Amino acid sequence: MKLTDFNWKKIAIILGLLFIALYPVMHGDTYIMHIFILFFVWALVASNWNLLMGYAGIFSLGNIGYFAIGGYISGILAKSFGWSPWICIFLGGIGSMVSVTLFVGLPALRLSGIYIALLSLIFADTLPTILTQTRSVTGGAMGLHDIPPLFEGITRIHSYYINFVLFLVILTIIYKIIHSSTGLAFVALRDSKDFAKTLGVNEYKEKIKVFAYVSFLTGITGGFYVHYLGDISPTTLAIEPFLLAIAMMEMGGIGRFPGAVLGAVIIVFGNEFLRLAGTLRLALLGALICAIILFFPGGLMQFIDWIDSRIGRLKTSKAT
Amino acid sequence: MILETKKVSKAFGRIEALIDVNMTVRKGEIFGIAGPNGAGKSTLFNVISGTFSPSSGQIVFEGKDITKLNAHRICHLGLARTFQIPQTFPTLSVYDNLRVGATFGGKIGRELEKRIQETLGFLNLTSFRDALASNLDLYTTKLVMMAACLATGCRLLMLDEPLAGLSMTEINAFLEVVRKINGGHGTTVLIIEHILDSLIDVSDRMLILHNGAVICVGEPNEVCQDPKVIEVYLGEGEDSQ
Ligand SMILES: Nc1ncnc2c1ncn2[C@@H]1O[C@H](COP(=O)(O)OP(=O)(O)OP(=O)(O)O)[C@@H](O)[C@H]1O
Ligand SMILES: [Mg+2]
Repeated sequence: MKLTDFNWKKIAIILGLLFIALYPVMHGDTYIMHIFILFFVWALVASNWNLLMGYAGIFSLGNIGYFAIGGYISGILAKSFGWSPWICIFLGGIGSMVSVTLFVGLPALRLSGIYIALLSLIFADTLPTILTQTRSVTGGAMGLHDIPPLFEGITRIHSYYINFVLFLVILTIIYKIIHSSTGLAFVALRDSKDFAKTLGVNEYKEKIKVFAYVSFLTGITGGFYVHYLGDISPTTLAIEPFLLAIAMMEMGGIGRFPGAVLGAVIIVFGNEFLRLAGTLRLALLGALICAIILFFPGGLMQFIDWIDSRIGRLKTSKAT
Repeated sequence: MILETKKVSKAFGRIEALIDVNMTVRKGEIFGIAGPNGAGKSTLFNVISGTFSPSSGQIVFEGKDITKLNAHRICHLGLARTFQIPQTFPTLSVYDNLRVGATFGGKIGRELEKRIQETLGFLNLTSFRDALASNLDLYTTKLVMMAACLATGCRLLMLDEPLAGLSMTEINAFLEVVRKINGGHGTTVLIIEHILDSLIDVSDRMLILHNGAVICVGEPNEVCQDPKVIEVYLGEGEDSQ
């Protein structure tokens, strides 16, 4: 292999995935495995969000709500009816898809920018109220507990690998969507809406499609999350998870794949390991985010582009 | 006849941009539309292509009433248009710009790749295939905009002032391409240009629009001898001096 063929990004991805795949057998600290699972889940939430916001240009702020709906539906069904959690997770995804597409997606077609943001935020904001009003099923403010696990006798290692596979599968789906005709339609609509439409792009259809995809995938992720944790409560819908997920997107690079995953690495692991700093944790994290955005407004993906251009220059100077 | 507008009017508040415009375009011809600034030429295109709907009147394309259809539906039926202010998808490569047209306008599935390659070849754009659309000069931008339209497989191509801002050599080259599209593909072309000379040169028939109304239609030599047209154009000449 020549020096010019060397693609450090591919190698970094392979090494990263290899490390994740081997971690439980190499070291296997159950606490760190738990953090990894949180990382898988939040990376998916943020990546789906990024698909909707960064790629489709739809300013949805309700994605944690889509996540919670999937989680609650799945948890309630599994707990109340004793159905297989796998089926419940799927139904949770469908439930999230139907409600989000109906109550946010369709109205959003008639709205633009900031108004979609408000609408989706209101949608997510009504959920805690609905939850307290339906206390008998949802557990209200106390939350839903003793949600059955995916299967009897599941261990941390099982959960780790299940969520890792979920992570890989959903990221692959997102990648495929970005590179499908739907992804092309969004870039076209963002670049020049009128021209895209006169070339046959059906804006409404593509927007509804992406709402359906994103809410389904986010809902499913919510399902896996609650069956792993065993409980869910309205605090999921509090401001902190919301801000952290937004920060993952911002830090990774909005509209860049897999930016949100990189953002999630920093936020999830940063958030855990900065616990040592106590109350200063969020402040330190905030400072880190500010620093990255200040130097690289395009987030970590822009930082990677920058390294790339450096390497490119090195190569050309070596060649001459 | 491929396109017909019947008493099409369009008002923006108090401004009557189009007043009872009747126009018929025959299959296979190059049909020119001229008129001074603000005559309503672009509005006519916008109304035909579904960007706006007309205030009244009817538009028929290949025997179908398209008056109330959305822009994307009209494209699916085989009509594509360019814009006066050049539009491309700047963050996409030239190839992907055409891919938008071929994917969404073309409905061709497996033939997609072939259609794009052919269109690039036909317009001599193959060497720009991987260039980013934002890095192109004005002439190439206009070609790419037109190529994306052709990639939809349209039977009627509408060009809104494609020559504006081009040098004399570029104008001639561009008109050559338009003739080639018309001759080679048999695509009917509707072209707006407010400089009469270039339009007379390329059109089979032409129409003059003034203050939203049609003042003259016919073969180029008839049209430029029409006293009303001479008046409008002389008037404009005096204004601009
Ligand atoms: N979206 C709009 N809203 C309000 N008025 C408009 C709009 N589009 C066009 N007009 C008005 O309609 C009239 C016709 O405009 P139009 O752009 O069709 O003219 P044109 O013949 O294309 O002129 P030009 O040669 O400058 O391109 C003008 O008075 C213009 O101000
Ligand atoms: Mg115009």
